[in-house]
Amino acid sequence: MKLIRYNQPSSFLSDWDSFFADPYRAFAPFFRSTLSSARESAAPLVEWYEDDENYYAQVDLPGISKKELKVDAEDGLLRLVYESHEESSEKETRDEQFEHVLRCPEGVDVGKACANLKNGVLRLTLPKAEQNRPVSIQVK
Amino acid sequence: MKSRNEISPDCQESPSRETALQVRPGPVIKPHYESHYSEESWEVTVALPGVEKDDLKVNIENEILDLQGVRRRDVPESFRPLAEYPDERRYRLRLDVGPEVDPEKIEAHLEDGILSLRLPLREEVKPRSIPIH
Repeated sequence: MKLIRYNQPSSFLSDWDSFFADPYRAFAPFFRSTLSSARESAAPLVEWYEDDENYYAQVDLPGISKKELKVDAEDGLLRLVYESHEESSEKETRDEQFEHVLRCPEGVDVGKACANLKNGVLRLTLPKAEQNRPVSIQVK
Repeated sequence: MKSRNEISPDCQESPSRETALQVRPGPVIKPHYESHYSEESWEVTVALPGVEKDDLKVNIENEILDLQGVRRRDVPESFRPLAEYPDERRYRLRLDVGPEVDPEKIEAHLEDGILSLRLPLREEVKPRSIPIH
């Protein structure tokens, strides 16, 4: 899994999810055919957290392994790209690809971001830029 | 989309019937799943992201496969949620597997948030070619 800066004209912005969006739609291509059952589910796709140092995003990606996933960070956007190449028989091969774009909170230092995939859940750690961290002022 | 084998997770069970996990009040989510039949077996794959192996129970009784799992919120206490999220999510999927599945030979494997179930068919229901003498 790579986490790299990604610079591309913002032609795909229509695919944005708003920062606090809680989309219930199916994400994993594995379950692309079961959209109706996806809507029945109350499991959110993304959960957002923060502490003083970082923002954290948890994204459900069942069935996706580290090798197949790439996370690109552009200014204010996180682009999750999944690619798999499967040889289902001697002659047939199956390629699957999808991407999903998350809007990143403002004031994040994406250069220091890191990602961890476990049990089908991607956990992104997005460090807040120094100037956006809370500062406690000592009272003298 | 509801398969012909699916049983509503809300379906009431008789009090005497033991379940793998106690069903507590609260929403129970039906996980996304896919199933495929072959000549040898019925393959079922269920999406259970974030569910640990120890929090998952799969039982079969009276030709009904009953899957129950709990996904616990797995973040440190110092994390402040930016929206409301439940502390845990309860999943349940009940499938009528019919008499053709051999319950003794069912295999289950959990990896990358996907539970793969292989339900081999009984020998007597597998297709076979009849030799012509």
